[in-house]
Amino acid sequence: MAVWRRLFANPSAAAGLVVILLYAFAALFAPVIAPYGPREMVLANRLKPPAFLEGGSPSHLLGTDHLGYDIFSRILYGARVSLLVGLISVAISLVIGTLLGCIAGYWRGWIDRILSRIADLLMGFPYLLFTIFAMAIIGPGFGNLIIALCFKAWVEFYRLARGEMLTENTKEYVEAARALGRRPVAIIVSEVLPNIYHSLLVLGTLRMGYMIIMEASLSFLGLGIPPSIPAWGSMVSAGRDQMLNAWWVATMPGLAIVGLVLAINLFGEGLREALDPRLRR
Amino acid sequence: MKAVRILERVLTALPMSLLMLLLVFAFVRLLPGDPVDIMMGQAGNVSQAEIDALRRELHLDRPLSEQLSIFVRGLLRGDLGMSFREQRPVTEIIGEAFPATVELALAALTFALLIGLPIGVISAVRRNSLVDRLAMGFSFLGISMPAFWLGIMSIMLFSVHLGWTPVQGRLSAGIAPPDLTGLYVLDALLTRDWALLKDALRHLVLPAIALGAELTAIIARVTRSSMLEALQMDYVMAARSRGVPEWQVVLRHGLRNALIPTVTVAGLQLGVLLGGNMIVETVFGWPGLGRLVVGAIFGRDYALVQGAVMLYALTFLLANLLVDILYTQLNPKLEL
Repeated sequence: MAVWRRLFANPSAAAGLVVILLYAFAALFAPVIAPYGPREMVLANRLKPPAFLEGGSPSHLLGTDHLGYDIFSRILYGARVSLLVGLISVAISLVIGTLLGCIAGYWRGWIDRILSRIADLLMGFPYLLFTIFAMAIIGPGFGNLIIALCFKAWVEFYRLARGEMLTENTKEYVEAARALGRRPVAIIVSEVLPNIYHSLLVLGTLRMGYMIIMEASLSFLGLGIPPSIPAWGSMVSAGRDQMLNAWWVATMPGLAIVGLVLAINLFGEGLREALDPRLRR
Repeated sequence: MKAVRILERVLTALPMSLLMLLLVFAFVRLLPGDPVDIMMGQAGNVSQAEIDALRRELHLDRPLSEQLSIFVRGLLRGDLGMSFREQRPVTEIIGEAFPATVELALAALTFALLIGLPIGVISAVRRNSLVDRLAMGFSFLGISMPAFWLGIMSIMLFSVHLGWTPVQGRLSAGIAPPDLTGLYVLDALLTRDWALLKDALRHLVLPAIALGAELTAIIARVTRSSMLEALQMDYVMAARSRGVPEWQVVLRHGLRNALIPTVTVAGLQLGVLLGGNMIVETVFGWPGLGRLVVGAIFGRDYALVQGAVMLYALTFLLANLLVDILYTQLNPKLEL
């Protein structure tokens, strides 16, 4: 696999992948690794500094917040929310966007016009405004958050898939398949998709980081994940009120976000270069 | 022919804005919770008669089609209705908030261009050098950092810890802005009020950086890659062989051509500025449209949400239109 070889020859992409796997491991085994439960508060231990600071103790590695929650444990559990939201929302948007994009690009005509108008319309609103609106309508919660994120996110995959489909449509191999009397669905799935999935995959990886930031932003505003479930965005929000006396409460979960998103972006960029060697500079 | 193309774009933008208007109207009505209940809930003890009266006053007793026609007729007169909660015309509230948002967005855009463009150019010219690697590393960090966290971190460091900048708001208490454009920095320059300028800038700098960081990173990356492409072109080699000084080659031949994709990307990312401002304005207590709209959605202030979101969508549409026109102007190939 030349692609994988090229990918691992790129140190930042390889490092990105390792970090992503570490986060996935932490999320998966949070109950085993975390010294405290996600809702286990010890009011006597409120606002304890991290272990490496004066007054900190090894029992609270990254300190505690104003309710006595162990920040390290909640970051581990929070990784579940971020990774799941990122993965699921990108997967759904990718499938819907690709499907509709292929349909519009293959058949064109009225269906293309309608879908493309809808896409333009959705692109007319800032993403965050749109999701805030959607969350206000359908209410907070994990499933609703994913619906709200996907409601607009499919558009980018749609546009990419449609554009690629339009280009591929005029190429000889597609013409040949048509001349052989193959059905459109078969042409799209077995002829065109294998040629265009690269760029969709790269877009999907890079969008995943963005989705994680969106989820964190919504949770920060109190519109995302309900507060009973630890999520990095709401943890930062809680730390905002402790800015004067406990900087670590807002800082630590934010670092967790940056680390994960950075790793995903580095990996995505490496993936893009590996899949398209012309991009290497 | 450029004029035709531009006119065409303007004409297609019109039905788009009408569709947006319908969508916003429908969306606002989909919000759960009755605005009258919410308002009366705040007022405490009220009679059914009062509730009915308020419902009539807000036209909420009419069928949806009639509400829509009232909304559209008002819009044509430049009347966006009354804010339920503030009991003031929506146009007035938005009129106060909009300049704050524009000032912040312009400051963020300026910051992003001032930092992002030179970084991109230097990275391309010194490709694969330490400077290039560092710059690209930072740009990766820029697109990976949530604006709300960057905002809080900068407040903690510069406002709380170092005490260099104020924590919240647009101006310090006791400083009165002149009644000009509403963009305080511009107003201060126009009236040569240096105290106002200093105070406004001190309030503006952190939110502008928090809002502009992502765009800075994007601009740096796009400029770098389009500069690399431009510098490999034949005309650049030709210029070099003619003995044109290197800085002229880079700026006149390289950057001028690299600007086209940069402007396009920067323009398309205006959504980042417009969307991000809801977060950044909330974090910094910036009295703009973003903070307003978040509050209005939470408070079910139909008219205010409607007006503010319309303004958002129209600004977005207009910005995209401008980018398109600028793109046409910059790209000689598009001239037919």
